[in-house]
Amino acid sequence: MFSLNMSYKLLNIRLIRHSNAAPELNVWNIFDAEHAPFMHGKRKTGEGMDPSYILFENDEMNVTLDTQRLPVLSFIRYRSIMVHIATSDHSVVQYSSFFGVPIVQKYSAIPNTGNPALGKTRYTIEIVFYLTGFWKPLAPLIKKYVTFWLGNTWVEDLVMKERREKFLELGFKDMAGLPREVSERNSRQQKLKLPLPRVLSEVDEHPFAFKRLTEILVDPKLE
Amino acid sequence: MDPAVTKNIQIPPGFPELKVCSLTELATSNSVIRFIETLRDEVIAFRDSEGSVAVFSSVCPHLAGEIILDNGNLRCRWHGLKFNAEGRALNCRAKLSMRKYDSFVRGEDVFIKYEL
Repeated sequence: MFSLNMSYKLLNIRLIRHSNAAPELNVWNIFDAEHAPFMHGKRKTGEGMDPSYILFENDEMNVTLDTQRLPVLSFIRYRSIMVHIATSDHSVVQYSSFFGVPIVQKYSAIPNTGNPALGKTRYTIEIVFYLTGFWKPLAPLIKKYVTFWLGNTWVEDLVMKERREKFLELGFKDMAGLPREVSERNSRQQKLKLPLPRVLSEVDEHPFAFKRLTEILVDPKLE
Repeated sequence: MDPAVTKNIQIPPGFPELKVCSLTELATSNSVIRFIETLRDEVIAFRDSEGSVAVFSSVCPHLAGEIILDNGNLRCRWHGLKFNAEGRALNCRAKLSMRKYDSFVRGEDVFIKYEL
């Protein structure tokens, strides 16, 4: 029977940021798995994300297989299954792992009631590492690295969120673009809807993709 | 003479025209991306493989990413979608097209015409 290792340490890292993008763009950005290699793929210090595969998705969650590179030692890659669950139309919980260390992460966004100069939305990213054994003394190093990583990722995603917000406000619709008539480019016409439209053919072609499991399992029936 | 000028585009009366950029800007940076308030759209102007000036909406019809000119090819920065010279998406499993604006060169400037 499984027993919880009682000598574990929880490492908690929290990042608070603001932007002018609506709270729902928090969920959109995380579920948009296809942008990872293009927007987070190339960083000066070598770290970044490789193409992400979508194994399963529906209107409230997805399961992806992601590959990321370490800074400086960018030849070291680690893969992780990630599970994203939309807990509302503005927050997501993510389960993943880092070299075998279990991680839970929460991305949430609420209207900013503080200083309006910071932006209309307050984003909180909270990440918790379950550390055991030799990982425990490495907590300060992990904290430093993850804070650096999250900061870079936030900046790269912010450009996307704020651009999308701008064009949603002009009536942009996914897979259709801006309204044909200029006079109609004046109001938001689309709400968040999962799953997002996928355009790159390779994104769900991994052999572990749920819809392809019948090709690799001995028992072909998914029951 | 500029190839775009030789196209001799006739502008129908009543069609407004908007300046997008100057030919000097295109010569120095290969492409110009600009949000045009009157149009409520962001456009990209560039010279195609034949040297003619073309203007498209640079708002990717997929999820509103920024379409740039990358080594002579139109590409969305967010998801890597590539578009051909007519604005049709190439590596996409859905039918997607960029919006093309009728453009012309007058003097040293690039203009588009549009209907209100």
